[in-house]
Amino acid sequence: MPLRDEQIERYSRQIILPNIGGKGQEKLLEARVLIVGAGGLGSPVALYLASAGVGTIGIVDFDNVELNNLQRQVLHRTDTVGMPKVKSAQEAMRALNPEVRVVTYQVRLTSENAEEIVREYDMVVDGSDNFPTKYLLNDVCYFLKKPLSHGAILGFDGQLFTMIPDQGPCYRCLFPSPPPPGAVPTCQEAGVIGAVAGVIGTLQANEVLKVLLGIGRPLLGRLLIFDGLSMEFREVGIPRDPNCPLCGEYPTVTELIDYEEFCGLRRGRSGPHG
Amino acid sequence: MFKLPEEVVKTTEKFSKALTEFLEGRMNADRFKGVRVPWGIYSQRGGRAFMARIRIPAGVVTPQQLKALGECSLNYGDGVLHVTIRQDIQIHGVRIEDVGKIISYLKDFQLSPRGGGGNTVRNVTACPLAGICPKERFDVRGHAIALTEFLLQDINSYRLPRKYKIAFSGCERDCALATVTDLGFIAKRVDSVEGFSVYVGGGLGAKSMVGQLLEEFVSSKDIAYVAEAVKRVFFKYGERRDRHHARLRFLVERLGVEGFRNLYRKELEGLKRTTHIALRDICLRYPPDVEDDISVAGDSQFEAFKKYNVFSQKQGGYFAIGIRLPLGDIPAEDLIRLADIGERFSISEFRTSQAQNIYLCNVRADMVYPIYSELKAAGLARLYIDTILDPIVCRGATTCNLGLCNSKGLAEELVSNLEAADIDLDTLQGMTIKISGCPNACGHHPTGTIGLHGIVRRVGARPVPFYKILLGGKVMEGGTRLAEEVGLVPARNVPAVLKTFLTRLQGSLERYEGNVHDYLTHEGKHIMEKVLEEHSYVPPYEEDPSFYRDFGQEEDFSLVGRGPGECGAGILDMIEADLEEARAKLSLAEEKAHDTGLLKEILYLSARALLVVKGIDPKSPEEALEAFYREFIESGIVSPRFRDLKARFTTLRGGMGDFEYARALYEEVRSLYASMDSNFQFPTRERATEEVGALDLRGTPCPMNYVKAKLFLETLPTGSVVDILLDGGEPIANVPGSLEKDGHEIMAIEDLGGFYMVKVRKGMMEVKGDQNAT
Ligand code: SF4
Ligand SMILES: [Zn+2]
Repeated sequence: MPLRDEQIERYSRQIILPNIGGKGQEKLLEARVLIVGAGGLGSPVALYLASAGVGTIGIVDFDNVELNNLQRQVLHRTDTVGMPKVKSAQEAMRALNPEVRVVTYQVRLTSENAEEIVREYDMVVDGSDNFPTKYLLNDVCYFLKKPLSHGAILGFDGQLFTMIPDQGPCYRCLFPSPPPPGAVPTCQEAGVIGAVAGVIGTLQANEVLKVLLGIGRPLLGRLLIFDGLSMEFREVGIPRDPNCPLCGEYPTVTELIDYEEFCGLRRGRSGPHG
Repeated sequence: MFKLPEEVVKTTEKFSKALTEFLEGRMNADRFKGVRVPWGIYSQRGGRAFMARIRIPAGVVTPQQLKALGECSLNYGDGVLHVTIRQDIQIHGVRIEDVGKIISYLKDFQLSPRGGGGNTVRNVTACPLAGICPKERFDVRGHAIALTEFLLQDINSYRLPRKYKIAFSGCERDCALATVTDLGFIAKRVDSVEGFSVYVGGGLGAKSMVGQLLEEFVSSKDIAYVAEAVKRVFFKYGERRDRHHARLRFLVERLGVEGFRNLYRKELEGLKRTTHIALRDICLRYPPDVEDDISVAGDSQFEAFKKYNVFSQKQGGYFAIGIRLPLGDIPAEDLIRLADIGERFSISEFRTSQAQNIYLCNVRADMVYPIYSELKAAGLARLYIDTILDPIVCRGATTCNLGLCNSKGLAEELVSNLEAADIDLDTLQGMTIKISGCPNACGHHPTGTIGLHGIVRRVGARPVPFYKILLGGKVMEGGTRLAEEVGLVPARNVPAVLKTFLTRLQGSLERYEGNVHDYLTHEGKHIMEKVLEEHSYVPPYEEDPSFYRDFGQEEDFSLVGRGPGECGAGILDMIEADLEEARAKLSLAEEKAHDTGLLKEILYLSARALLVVKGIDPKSPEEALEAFYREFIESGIVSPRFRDLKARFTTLRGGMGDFEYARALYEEVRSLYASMDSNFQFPTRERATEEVGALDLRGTPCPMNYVKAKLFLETLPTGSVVDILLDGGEPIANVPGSLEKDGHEIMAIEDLGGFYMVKVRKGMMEVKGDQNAT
């Protein structure tokens, strides 16, 4: 499908790039990306992917927009408070780029629905704020062989890496199983800087574009750690673990698991994302 | 002797499986056709009965093999076998369910129909009397047999653009017709090294051609390299879509023999570098010379038989006996009887000939008469083998799906007419009559001194069977000539025409000394023209309906029931069969979108459909998806949205999303098939959009003008030259430089007053991202 004039104009600044060009733009227009969590990380990802012309963007979030979200979740606005986050996100993306197809899932990702949703996409972005979802996403993406951009933030710190199944380590190579409930603070308890979410989410968006285009060097086997206070980026090499319970030689995780919610605050009340 | 290669033995099982699937209704007829035709199993006209064409490499066949063939015909066929012009033996009138039995029975006798049909390496032929002919330079049987064994090993030998025929002749007389075959080898000795001159691109058919010299000389040990290299060129560059121009000779014609030779040489070099091919040494025995001659006097019938049907071998004291098979047919009982006679007299080798006859070889002088007596008793001692009373005839309209005229019926009528006429065979010695039922030349009419092929003409509103008459064909290294057309005559009059012509010709030939072929194409031609004139009138139907009826037919001539040919049925049929099946499953799935089995099959069939053109025959869905990914998705032919095909397949859960996905894949493959070109190539997604030409970017500001120029260039093949019109000022100052940075060449910039024309040649540099895993 040749690009229309309006598309050429809209995307001209990236078409100009030698390793994108018209072909790359077409790839993006045909691509389908799922963002899990329309929160602090999901916001920049959603906006940048929509602006870059990723053809289909799915967004999963069960919660409604709350006033305290707006400090870091730049997808949402004061006048969308109370609205389902996925709706608010859809509006924002449409306003930015009406060409993008936004598919909304106002559900909690569980072992029941994860496969069905993830299957429709080429790549997945983890913008979740809790361990059960992070493990679930890691596992389902591994099973369905979908690349996954993992990201997390806490206070002034953030980290990200990219999993491409069987080509590099997965999340469980790093952390074989979730920490016991209560051992790790969630962001609700720890607080977070909006700009840090912006940094990490933006980097995730960049990773997604690279993987979709097949260019550059994704964060495969490399964990990038950001310290917003000392203003340092550190890179830690993470080898693939042959004993990984998921992607190792003798896997023990062979189906999706719903880990227990351990934040305690989430059920019944809307929990913030990222 | 010939041994069935492992590949053939192994795939026999696969054939049986396919047959079972077909019989149990699990494989549709079209798909099965794609399987059976390359297995030499053709449907006969009418569609219910089948024919198995068994390859006989070099025409060398043992009495045990002949018996086995005879028994198959008795048990499973219609009781009559047929020797083809390419030395195969066909079993006719077989029910499809018995085909498997024939194949597995014959396997134990080292016989198989594998490659007997379809786009495969066909029977490799040799002179009918190779190894015993006194004129030959050396025995070529072993070469033909060993080459067969080698080529049949390779799976690509069964998926060529079209059939690939190979022949070996023992000397320049070219009895194996090497100069009118796709690839022909003619024995030659250079500095006492045995080898061959090689001809390529010969062939007889609707458009016949004489082969061209590919190699002056190759030594015997190199023939497999040559045949394989030619095969690879054919495989890669041959025309695959248009069956009528798919034969190797059209490729040679298209490229010119020089162009073809270049490609061939390249293949050959690569092949020699990377592969060591050693043909099996075929162990062939000859009888030692003896001092003996046939000495039975007083039997005039035997004298005639000796004169016409017995040939001295190069081995002193040994003879070959020719069994004339009218129209190449032999009843199974006769074949078994013949084999029996052979066995009783310790004859271990028979031959099938290009003239559709059979020879007993290595008959010791003192055995000739006893064998003759037995043959006579069995009714097999027909005289006049290889004379004009032994015309060569294709199967024609009786069994052939393409045939127009009943060439067989004509031949019978003709022979009985000529027998009754007063014709001196000695004067006409060396002349041949070759008849094809249609222009396709399965009866080799272009090489006959007299050639005929069936054709249809309308008289009034009715179709009438006619024959075209050709004269002066001959085959000989360096001197092969195709017969020239002289004229047309209604089928009914052909016997009278030939009888008159031969009688008149004989009169003038008696006085003529010199080259008969020259004579035929000059004076002979005038005689024929006159005779044709006298016989060209077709009376109205009411007056004489016999003109409107073909030989041996009860009904008036009609064209009903002539379908397209089977021979190249392979690839396109298979693709269509897959797509058709996928479509049927899709409409089923519309109601049952949750049926993952159904959805999986749609994905599988869609992915598999086009793989045949890539020469891939996946054994499992996984293989098919893998190959599809590699060949079609990665290479940008199919939309990247199907990148996740493999994962999708294994995780399918059913539901509308999955259904839509399957449908989209099917649609994509189908439209891809529609856009496939005659070379089995597909447009890549970027191409096919715009045409090369000028690009007017006046009025487009920076940097949009650059973006547009870049996009336009992306769609073109490297090396294309485009004129781009740009405004002065910023645009002309920036855009050319940027394009140059992208790797394109700025050939010229011309000031056209107020705007500029920039001539750009698209560069090689297609910057691709390098995905770099750590
Ligand atoms: S020449 Fe024509 S009629 Fe005869 S076998 Fe060939 S295709 Fe059939
Ligand atoms: Zn792992």
